[in-house]
Amino acid sequence: MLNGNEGDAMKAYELPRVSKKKKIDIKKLEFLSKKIKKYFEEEEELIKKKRNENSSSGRILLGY
Amino acid sequence: MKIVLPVEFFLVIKDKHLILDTSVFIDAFSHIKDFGVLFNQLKVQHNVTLVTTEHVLIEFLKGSTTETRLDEKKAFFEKIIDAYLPCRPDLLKNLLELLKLYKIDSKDLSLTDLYLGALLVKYRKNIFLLTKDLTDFPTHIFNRATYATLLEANSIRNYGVYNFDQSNKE
Repeated sequence: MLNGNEGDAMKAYELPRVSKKKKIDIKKLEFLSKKIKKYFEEEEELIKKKRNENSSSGRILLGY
Repeated sequence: MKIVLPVEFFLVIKDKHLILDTSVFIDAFSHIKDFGVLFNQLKVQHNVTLVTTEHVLIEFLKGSTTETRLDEKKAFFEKIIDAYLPCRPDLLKNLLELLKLYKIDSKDLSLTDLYLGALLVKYRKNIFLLTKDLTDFPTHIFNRATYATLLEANSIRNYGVYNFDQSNKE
């Protein structure tokens, strides 16, 4: 376990400061988030399909 | 849907930096009202700086089927965060120290998670990580400072808030 005397690698450094933080406009983000949810669902389907195709062609190559 | 927080939640991370990992962004677009309210409370009422890394951005964007979709995902992502934390070459030293602590458990970790862990090591008490991947940040290495729970109609999702505070380990 570390004891806080581990040299330069373990020293704490200054973090970048952000003076003015952006408040999130939830209403505006709602529209975008619905689109993104749809994109992720479609990507998930596509990747499943691709994996199935790859595993099927693998069987043929191996002579199953 | 509702996010339930323990009483100390805001007190623990007040005035600090909070890193959001990929799992949080993925859940945020499915529950933007709940997460949006929480993020605004953190930013406005508790002076928390929401940050992430470019590794997390890439994890969020990969697989995008068109340029437009990639741009929209990036826009969503950047409307939430206040800044990206730079992963400079010197972070490698922190990462190597972290590998010594993880031992065999680092074998299956993603590079993104390792870099997030290295940032916790580098910035110590000043920074926290919000993540749903609870097993990737074990409590024999990191301090689980607080947590959040998302209550859904048919499930419950838990998020840990971790930092690297060795004073709790002695």
